[in-house]
Amino acid sequence: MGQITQLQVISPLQNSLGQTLFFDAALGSGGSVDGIKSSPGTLYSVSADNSLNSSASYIRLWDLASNSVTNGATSPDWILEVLPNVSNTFYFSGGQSGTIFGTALSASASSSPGTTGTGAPANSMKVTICYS
Amino acid sequence: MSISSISDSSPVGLVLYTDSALGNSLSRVKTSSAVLFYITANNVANPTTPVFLKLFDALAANVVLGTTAPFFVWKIPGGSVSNLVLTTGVSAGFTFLTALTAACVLTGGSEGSANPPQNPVSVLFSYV
Repeated sequence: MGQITQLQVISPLQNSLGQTLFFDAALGSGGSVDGIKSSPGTLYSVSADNSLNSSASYIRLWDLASNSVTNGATSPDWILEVLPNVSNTFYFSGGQSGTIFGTALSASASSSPGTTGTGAPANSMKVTICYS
Repeated sequence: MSISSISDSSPVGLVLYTDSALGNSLSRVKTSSAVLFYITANNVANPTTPVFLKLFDALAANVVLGTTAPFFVWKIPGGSVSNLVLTTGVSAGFTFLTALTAACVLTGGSEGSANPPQNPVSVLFSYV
């Protein structure tokens, strides 16, 4: 098996929804914001492996392009707590599968809940985001 | 708001807690540790306005909406019914260690306390 690089995009999945898997092996490293999709779409699930951290981590998602986001200042549209030492998965659905984002999708992670704070999780947190 | 709480007679002891108009008054979903399985939020009454559901792992007495950082924020598009299912490892549910407190406003992130949804947003929490 080849080494997993920090960012991977697998697209499209062979299903009728044309989903894409976005993977970051250290989401939020250095306070960075990932641009996941630069146009409207649908968010299906977020899966996070926080097993290397003894404290909770917080995934921040914005319905904005990454260049419109200031991590620690721009209010996230979604915040997901990831419990210490475990993996958590969050499945979104609306009238159909998934929940829509109207502009774009960007993501980061922090050791702080809420909007403020740019400190990354102490150790890397692997995050997979399924969208179309 | 109108609160209903139904305790399921299943072995799991599931509770279905519904707030028919969750807004900027904190809803005390559970005042002790909880395992949350899923949430269903109905924002159909606000057809063009998204709302933001905020969850706190804290007692309501320790939450100042608009100031206290929420552990979860969930944008619910206007005119939609949205569901969120939570799992931990291979098991269903997500543990709130202290309590489960919720509110719904028009602003994401930590901000927003003065502006509740214009029309009612009904939210169902399934937990033990």
